[in-house]
Amino acid sequence: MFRKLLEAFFRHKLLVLLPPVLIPGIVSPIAVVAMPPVYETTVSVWIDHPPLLNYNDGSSTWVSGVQSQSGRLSELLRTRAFISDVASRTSLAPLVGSAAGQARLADLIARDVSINGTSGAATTSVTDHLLVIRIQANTAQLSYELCKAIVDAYQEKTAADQTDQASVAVDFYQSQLQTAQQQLAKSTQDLRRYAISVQANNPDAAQPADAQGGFAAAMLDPKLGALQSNVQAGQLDVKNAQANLNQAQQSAMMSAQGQQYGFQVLDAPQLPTAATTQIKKIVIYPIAAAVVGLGLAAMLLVLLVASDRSVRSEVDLASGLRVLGTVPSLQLKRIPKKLRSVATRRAIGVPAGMALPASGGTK
Amino acid sequence: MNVIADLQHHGAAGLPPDAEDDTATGAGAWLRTTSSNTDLAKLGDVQHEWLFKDCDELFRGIYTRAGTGFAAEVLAVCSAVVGEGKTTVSVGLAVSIAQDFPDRRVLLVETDLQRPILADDFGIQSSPGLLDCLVNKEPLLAAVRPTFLANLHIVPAGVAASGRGRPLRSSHMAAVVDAMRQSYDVVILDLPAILANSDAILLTDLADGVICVVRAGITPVAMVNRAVEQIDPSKLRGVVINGTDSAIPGWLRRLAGI
Repeated sequence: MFRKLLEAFFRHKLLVLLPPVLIPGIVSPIAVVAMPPVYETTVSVWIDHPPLLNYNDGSSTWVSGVQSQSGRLSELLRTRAFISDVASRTSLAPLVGSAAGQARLADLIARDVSINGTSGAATTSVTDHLLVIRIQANTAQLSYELCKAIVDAYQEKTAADQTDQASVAVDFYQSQLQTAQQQLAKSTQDLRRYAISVQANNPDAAQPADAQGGFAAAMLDPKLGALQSNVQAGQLDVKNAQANLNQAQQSAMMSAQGQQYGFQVLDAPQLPTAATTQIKKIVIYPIAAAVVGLGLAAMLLVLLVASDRSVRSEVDLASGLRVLGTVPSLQLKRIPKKLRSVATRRAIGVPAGMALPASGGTK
Repeated sequence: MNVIADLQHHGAAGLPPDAEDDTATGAGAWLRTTSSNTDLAKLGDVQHEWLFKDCDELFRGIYTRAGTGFAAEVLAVCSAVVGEGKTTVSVGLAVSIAQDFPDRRVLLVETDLQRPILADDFGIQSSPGLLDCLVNKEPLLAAVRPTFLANLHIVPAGVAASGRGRPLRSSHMAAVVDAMRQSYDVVILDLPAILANSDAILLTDLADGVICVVRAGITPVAMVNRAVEQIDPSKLRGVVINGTDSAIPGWLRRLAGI
């Protein structure tokens, strides 16, 4: 089979090699000419955790800030809400609201531009601190708008998330503090009422002069001791709640400030003035065409072998037929192919006196 | 009738005047043109290219495997369709046997009346030929032509003419073959294509052995099988594949071991 394939290939090499040569030759210029212009806008963002601000921003020891932020941005670009938010800041705003427009927006923003060349896409390159966001679109304005909108929407979303989280934490600790304060006030009130009632029932009883006297009174009166203990616990709760609230407020403030330093836009987006050369696509189309051509050539080769029912060697003959020998053709470049069989015959018959054929193509 | 003796007596009629002299210088050095071969002189300096390398050994192997040449017999060379190289193989066998057995008389008979080529190949008059023997009852001696090999003679087909019926089917054909068998040790019949001319099947009956020629890369296997089915299996010596030329470059064949 291998020999047959090789034989068919070399026998019909022009035909077999035609698809891998012709298809890229046709497809590549068409692809280059028909490829729409693509405008690219880039924005460079410096990602760094402020070392002097100790707050929890969700970062991990094992993942750099750039990786974390780029991953977050990529995930957000897959959500309809974020895409709508981005689109509403650009000329694509009319598409927001309708189901069809929403789907088109998702295509425009989330999908790579390389598929049909009509949509924009965000690509990121990850380094240690520098996050480069590239936006490609088929108009310069759209590319610029999308780039700016994505960065703005992302910053606002991040800030809003942190603010929301901080306010929730502050509200929580404030409610805790309020509850503790109410409890302390109630305990204090109970103690005061009990002391007044005891003094009213026993006017001769003297007020304890000092803490040791109070402790002694409490030892003598268990209820008084319990009330005093409640007041002390309430004071401790208020103190803890106040500390937590202070911590939450400080953390919220630090994260709001730190976010500004942690996500610094170094190179702001600029309106592109010239279309970008799509080297990747220019290379990919010929390669894809060559692969298709090779596939066709392989199919053609198999078809040629499968359709060849002629006898080429002993194995093609029916079993039982004895092959006495093979007579090769005389390969003479000066003789036309159609006359080679005549040339062979006459060359064989030369010893007996056969005439040789002319080189011009006549017998 | 001893055709050989008669031929020796009458001389090598039909050959160029200086042909016999050329024979002495060896076949490889001999070169001449036919009437329609005016450009052949240009090939004079490349005549060595025309020497078919290992040609002798090639046909020696074929006739050895076919068991021909050692005993007196009539060998038919046929094919399924036209243009497969029957005459090439016939000529090769005749030349090889004649060269290898100088004491054996070899006769090459062209029986393909519809596509006669031997006369043109040898540059001789096509008439009288086998057809004249069969139709006009000319003596075999008139049709037999000598060649540069003393023990090899040829019988061209003759000039085909319409209205002569199917002379190969006449009983006289068997008589002519018998006459050939008596005068020559090895008679090689260059038959028409079996699937194109049914006369070939009758002629195989007159032969002692049949060799079928197959054109490599041209003749479909099914046609070869159909042709072979029409030949008496006991007479079929085997198949010769003609015109084999691999398109694979030599270096690749050596590299791949194919």
